[in-house]
Amino acid sequence: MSLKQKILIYFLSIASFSGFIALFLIKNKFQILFYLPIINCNVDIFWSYITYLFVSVLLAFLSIYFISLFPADNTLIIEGNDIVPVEGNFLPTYIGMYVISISLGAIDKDTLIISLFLFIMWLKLGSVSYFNPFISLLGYRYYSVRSIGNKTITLITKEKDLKQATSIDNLIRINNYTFFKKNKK
Amino acid sequence: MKKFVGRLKNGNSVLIFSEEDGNLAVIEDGFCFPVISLEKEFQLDYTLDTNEWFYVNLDGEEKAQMIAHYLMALDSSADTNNVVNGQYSELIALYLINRDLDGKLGIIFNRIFDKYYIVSKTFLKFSLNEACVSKEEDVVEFNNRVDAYWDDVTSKLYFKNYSFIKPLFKGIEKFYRCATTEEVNAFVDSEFFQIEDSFKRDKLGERALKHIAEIIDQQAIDLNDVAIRVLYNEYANGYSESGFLISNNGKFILTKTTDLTNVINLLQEKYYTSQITREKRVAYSTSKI
Repeated sequence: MSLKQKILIYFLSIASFSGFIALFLIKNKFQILFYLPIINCNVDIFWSYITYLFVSVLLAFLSIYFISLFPADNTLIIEGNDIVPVEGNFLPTYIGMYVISISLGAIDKDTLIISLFLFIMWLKLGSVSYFNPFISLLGYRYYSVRSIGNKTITLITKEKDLKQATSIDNLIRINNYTFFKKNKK
Repeated sequence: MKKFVGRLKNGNSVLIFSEEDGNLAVIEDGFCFPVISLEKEFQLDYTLDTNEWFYVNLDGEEKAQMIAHYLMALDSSADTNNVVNGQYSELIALYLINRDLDGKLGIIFNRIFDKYYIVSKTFLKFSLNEACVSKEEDVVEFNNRVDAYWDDVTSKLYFKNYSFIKPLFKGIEKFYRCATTEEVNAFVDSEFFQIEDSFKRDKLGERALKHIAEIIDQQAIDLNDVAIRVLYNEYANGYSESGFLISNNGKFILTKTTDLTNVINLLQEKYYTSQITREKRVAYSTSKI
């Protein structure tokens, strides 16, 4: 794996983790925007919450952008139309993490240690950590595809229906089990 | 589309370089698709000229058995993992697959032997006009030699050295069939031979086994036919310099493996006398005119 690919993978994991941080900050009513000099008024805490979510969406958008910089030189022959949407499989893990982030207390040393531990674990979770609901918000779907070599591969694509696909090209390798379908321009 | 791929001893392939990788251009500088001008259908004992290549024609089933798994790295590259640290020592071959825009497909292979893998080696070199030491660890030597070439258009597998490529193509043995133990036993136990205790049938080399298989497959010689044996006795008497041992009842005596080699040459009618100089010779390779 090249250094660029490793950096990309860490970025995707961070982007994926950003939702938990956003939720944690919202739950603790953490405010970053107080006063906007341009309009000369105090800012409601609501706009801080919007900012946290916006950062998560922005990171998801940047994830797609950075993935697209990699060569789309992989192909996949699908074994017997074995294609299954898998967002549902990732959600329990993801929701579990949300529950943990909500149940964490205020921002203190203990919380930071637990958060750091969760973050490191998240980085090591492999393909699960590439699942990012904010990427789904951008219109991408996650599929589990069985290849002709009988390997199960996670595919991220903007295509809504892959039922009839027998082969897929223009694939970007994120890691050996996760591929991103680049749309033809 | 191009891929530079490694084949591991366990039969898996690993992606090393893709087309967009600048390293592939360096590989392609020396590792090029050959232009075949002289070709010869694979034949045992035939000595190739410098630019000559052996070839075997593969039908659909043979292609599926020998070539299809190499093509997987191109056709379904998502099935193939990137090479990781520690896998160079497991390499058995490196190969470059190329599919042109018009769909023409070819693969060139470089056989990797264990001796090409370097665990650790220290080199002296010059850097910025100063002597310095360079240490290389976990590297594999790549020598650019094309050991085999698959031309998908003609369905021909080209190669120079059968023994180099044999482990790379499952099923290629059929083009170099060796006699089985049962066949060897039936062959040497026929009425044609008289076996001495010193003859070790399990010491026969691959070449001898191949020739025995050829003779069996041709089914042109009935080794138990006395009349045929008499003809071979007369033929052998004309080339007694080769040291044929013939018993009183006309059987060829086998005391060592070279005796069998000589008789095999005899059975394949490789002893001949040149027309002009009348020199007695043995041909190591023959072709039908």
